[in-house]
Amino acid sequence: MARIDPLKISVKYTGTPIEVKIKSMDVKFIGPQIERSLKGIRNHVIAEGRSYIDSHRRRVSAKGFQGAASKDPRRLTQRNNLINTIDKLSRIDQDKNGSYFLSIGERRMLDIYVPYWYKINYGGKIEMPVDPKTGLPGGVPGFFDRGVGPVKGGSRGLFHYTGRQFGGKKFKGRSFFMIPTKPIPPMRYLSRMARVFRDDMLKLATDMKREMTKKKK
Amino acid sequence: MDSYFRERRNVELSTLDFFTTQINANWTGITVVKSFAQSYKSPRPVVAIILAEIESKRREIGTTTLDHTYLLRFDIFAKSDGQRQDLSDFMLSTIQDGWAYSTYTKNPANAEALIATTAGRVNLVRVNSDLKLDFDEDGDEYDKYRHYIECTVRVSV
Repeated sequence: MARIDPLKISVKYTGTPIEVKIKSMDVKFIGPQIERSLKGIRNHVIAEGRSYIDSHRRRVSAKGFQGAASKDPRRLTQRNNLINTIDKLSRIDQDKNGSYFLSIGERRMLDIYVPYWYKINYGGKIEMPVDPKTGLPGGVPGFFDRGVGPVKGGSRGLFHYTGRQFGGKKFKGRSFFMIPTKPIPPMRYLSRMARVFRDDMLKLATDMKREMTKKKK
Repeated sequence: MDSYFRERRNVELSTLDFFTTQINANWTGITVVKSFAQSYKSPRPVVAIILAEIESKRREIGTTTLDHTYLLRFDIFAKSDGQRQDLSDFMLSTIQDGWAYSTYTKNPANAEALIATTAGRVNLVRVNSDLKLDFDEDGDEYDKYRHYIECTVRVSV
């Protein structure tokens, strides 16, 4: 907990560390000004996160992908799903004592709506379920876009496919077992957002301190 | 261009040198690597030390000098949860005191060797993260006992 006197601004990370759940600031400073400032900080953190994720994408997204694939609603909704979900889960609240809270992200909800958020942030290997018949790694089910060939990112060697086609009606014969050979590189977008959050909070504290000093004079 | 490496390269090399020495002096069988992808090429336990980002701001109003801070990331891949706890604690207590900053230059007699000259210290500014990574059922066995430390450092010469 960091405390900056005499304005009684306390920065409190509740529950889990800021890296896991970017949360939460308790400002014991009541007034519409602080609410406006917190909204500005919230929007800035989200905008920075959006920009950071966009610039660190490893794969070409559905936008700009020509042909029938671009009309696939599932792919289109994937484009900004991660940051859009974080955006929706971020809010400013006020408790009974009049303290304002800024919450960015909520692990429980992220796990439901964007379950890959954690692995994209911290990186790691994709778990390979063992094929009970052979006892060997069985691969991860996946499919190439509309069966027209590997997606653009495949040429970077991130995926290899074994050629063992499976699927049935659900996948319309387009799905394969894929053997990821490299770990997912960590994007660390939470770290970036946390640093923007911290810098903005320090700036807010400085601005408020300056304003209080002016009022005293 | 002088014959010495530049500051950011020196920070990375100084950090890797220091932690490799410290880990080897206090632990056995731990591999130190300098990229995330390399971590998976060695059996655990592995510590990946990465100079991730550099932030440069004006040192003060009225000058053109920049003040650089360096973001270091330590990814620990342990073999057990106990080892993860011990290793992360060791890393953190090693980080807290800072370490020697050296300037490096190529050895004219041996192209593969570097000559290090102590020129200051790398000091800890703050620890940004120190947490256990828990991938639940999504994680591979290799990621089962992972720990992540992120800190910001600055060079004083």
